[in-house]
Amino acid sequence: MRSASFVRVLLVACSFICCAVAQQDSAGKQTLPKWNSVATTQISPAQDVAPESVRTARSINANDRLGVKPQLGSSEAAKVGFGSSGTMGELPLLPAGKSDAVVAGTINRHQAFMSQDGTNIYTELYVNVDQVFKTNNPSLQSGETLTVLNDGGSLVVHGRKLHVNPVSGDPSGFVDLGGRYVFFLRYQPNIDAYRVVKAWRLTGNGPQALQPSDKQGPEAELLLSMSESQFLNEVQQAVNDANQKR
Amino acid sequence: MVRTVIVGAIVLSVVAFCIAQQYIPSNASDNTPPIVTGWANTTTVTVWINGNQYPAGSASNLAIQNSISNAGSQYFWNTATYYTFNTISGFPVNPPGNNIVVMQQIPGTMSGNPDPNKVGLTSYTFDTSTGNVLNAWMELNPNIADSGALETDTGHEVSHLYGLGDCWTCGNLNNSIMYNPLPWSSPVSYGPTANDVYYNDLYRPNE
Repeated sequence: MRSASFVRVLLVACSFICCAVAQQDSAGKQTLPKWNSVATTQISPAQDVAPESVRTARSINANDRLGVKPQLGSSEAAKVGFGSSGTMGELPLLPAGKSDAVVAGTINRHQAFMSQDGTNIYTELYVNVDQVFKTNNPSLQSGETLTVLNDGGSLVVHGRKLHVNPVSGDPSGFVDLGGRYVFFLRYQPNIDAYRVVKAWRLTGNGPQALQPSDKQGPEAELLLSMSESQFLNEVQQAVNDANQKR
Repeated sequence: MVRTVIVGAIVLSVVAFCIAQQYIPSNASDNTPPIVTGWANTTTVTVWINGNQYPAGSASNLAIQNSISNAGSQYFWNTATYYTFNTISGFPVNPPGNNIVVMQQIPGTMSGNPDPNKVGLTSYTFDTSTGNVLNAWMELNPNIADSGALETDTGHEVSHLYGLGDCWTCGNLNNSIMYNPLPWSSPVSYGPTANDVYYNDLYRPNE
């Protein structure tokens, strides 16, 4: 009887330890998002949500501008790696004036694509929009699916997984699959796509900042102490203020 | 006895689930950012600066030279790297040897951050077996209006080439050149600090 109790206690203790280890996730560390590591398989033009001309423009836009990257999966790529890191500029906490669209929504799906020259991968995140605060496009409404572009991703090509990391230090922070966010978006007309300027995670308990600099200072602390509805009102107010300044 | 088995099975399933969560990135060989160790010791690096940079022509070129030299000399792991500087008109895209090519253009890879303070993007190739950087390309936003910011950003970007990450765990170390590039009005402090090095995840710039 005593040994059975001992086994129970031991098992419970083990489970707690394992859970604690699993939840560690390098607190505060910039980790790679799931969309960047969960591979998708190449899709055919018929399955593509973007028209062929748009797909071509986006794939050309993702080409290696420097002309130095080996093709992914090539023998040369195994010898020479390629990395990139960017420096962010300072943005307002709620950069409504610097955004073409501001929406709330949930990322429900992703799809990776290869650049036209085969040296790069970019990923499209499909956002189910539930609230529109600002838009440059009348067709962007609540209930619509919005495409957001990211650099990097994982793609299975002919059974082989290819991977490109996102740019380290990306100012948008990393939004991720399944998350609900307020997105501040910039429209890139030459590829008919939105990119994230900044995003705030919505957890139901209030906003979470993705960028370290958005977690410091009295204004940031005020935002972070808000309920979700208060925060969304604040976002709307920032949009209204930006519209008045135009 | 039966109850013990049931409880044990439940607990074991929880344990298995937790372990599975821990090891989700099982394809680490694909997804783990490669280890980059900076330039090889005693490397001579040629810096190619594309013409006279803004905002003040040759003064800005000097700012770039300062920040690259400082970033190289302040590291504690005794990398002896020597720089020669050249101003060019137009730039060699893929020159032989070890090079930093500094270009004046809008970084196109990062998300559509419209802020003019978005000042830089560094790309580099490295030998996957040694981790040594082979060549680097630094793209600078032409809207920079301050040579001090030019130095700060260049120091930040060059530091990536030595393996420093963005120091997202630096907390409130606002003086960290890796964590929080200084705003225009701040005193210029170029080159990484001891705090940068201490708090950073060395050698993992992409994580």
